[in-house]
Formats: sequence, structure tokens, C-alpha cells
Amino acid sequence: MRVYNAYNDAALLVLIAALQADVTSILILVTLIEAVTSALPTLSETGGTVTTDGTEQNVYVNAAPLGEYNPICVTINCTAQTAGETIVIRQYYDNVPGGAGAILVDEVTYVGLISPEMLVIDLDPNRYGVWVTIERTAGVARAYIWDVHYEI
Amino acid sequence: MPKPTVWPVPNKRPFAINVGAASTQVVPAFLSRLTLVGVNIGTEVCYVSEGTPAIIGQGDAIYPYGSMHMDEHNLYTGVIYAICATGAAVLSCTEGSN
Repeated sequence: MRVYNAYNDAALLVLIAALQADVTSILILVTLIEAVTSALPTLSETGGTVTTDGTEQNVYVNAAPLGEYNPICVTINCTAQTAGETIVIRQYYDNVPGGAGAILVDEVTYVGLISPEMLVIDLDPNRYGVWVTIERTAGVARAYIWDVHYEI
Repeated sequence: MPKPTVWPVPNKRPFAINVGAASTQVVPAFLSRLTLVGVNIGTEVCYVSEGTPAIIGQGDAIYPYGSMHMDEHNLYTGVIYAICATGAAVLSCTEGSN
């Protein structure tokens, strides 16, 4: 008698089921890892140019962060400053819920040619606001290119 | 020995056998048999024996949705038995005869 039997894939099906269970477990772990990596802060940058006018001017301001905020530093390019200029760089923070305004933290005066020409103002984590300002107290208007680096 | 095949097969008889956990007769001896085809539409393997009572693990193993075919090349006109482990095999058969 000729006999024809269908392929017995029972063992394969068991292996496939085990693989599927492994894939499900891996997917759960990947989802958890993705949640952690998505929450990691991303370093960002923005900048501009301030041309001094003799008043205290904002270089960088974040007056109302959405939450705990970690600015890294502000850089100010002082290559335009000559021996005749004097500038004052000020740093302010606000630590009052709802915002009470900028409170002075630090103030530095730079007279004449600045060396090195790039100022780096380190910033601290804050919740309610940070300001970096520039004020020309002597000399003529100069353009100061700045940028800020922060984590979001 | 004259070739036993008659073409076309004049008679066909469909039937089904619930194969038990004891040796079960599928077809009795039948000298006019020309063909026998059976498909296991049950859920466990059955073992088919020609001429003697079937024994688990011996003879032709027909797995679920496997089939057996008897024709002019392997014709057997004696009694055929089948057996399975728990009685869950079912042979759906067609016997052709003169």
C-alpha cells in the first residue's frame, strides 16, 4: 500500500511559539528602553547678535521655563570690542514660583580689548528664569555675536 | 498472473471507520477488490496492517490528513486492520471493486 503523510510541523510550531514569546519579551524591553532614552535631555543651541546701545540689553533670556531647565553656557564673541569700549556682563536668576523677576547673581566689567576674545558664561540649572545681559558703559556701539547651549 | 486492474473501476464504495484503541477491521477480505483509498481525518496517527491484527507502531503509519492508496501495483484482497492509541483516528475510505 502506498502511504502519503502530511508534513509533521508540530515541532516547528513549538519552536515558532517559543520564538514569538521571545519576540514579545524583547518588544516589552525595547519599549521600556525607548521610554528612558526619550526622556534623556537633548543638547540644543540658539544665538544672535546684540549691538550695544549704551543701555543694559538682554543677550539671552529664558524668563519662564516650562519646568526645571538646564542651560549650559552663553558664549559672547568680543572680537568687535576695541580699546575704547567698556562692557558689563550681568547674570540674573529667578527662584520665585510664578516669577518675581531677575535677581542679580554675578556682574563682570571688561575694559578695552578683551583677551581671550570669547567670553563663556557658565549657567546653572534653574526653574523660574535666567538672564544674561550686556551693557556698554564706554565707547561706541559694537556688535557682539552670542549663542547659548542648553538641554531640553 | 493476469493484471488485476479493470479500467474503469465499475464499483466504488465510500465508507468511514472509527479506528479504536484495539485492532479494528477496516475492510474484510474481498476478492473483487480493485482499489482502496483511505485518508485519516482524525486527530492521531493510526497503524494499518494487511492480513493480521494491527499493532501500535507496526505496519503503515497514517498520520492525521495522511492517506493510503492501494491499486493494481500493490493490491491486497485480504482483511485490513487499523489501530490507534486513543481512538481518535478516523479513516475515510473508498473501496473500488469489480
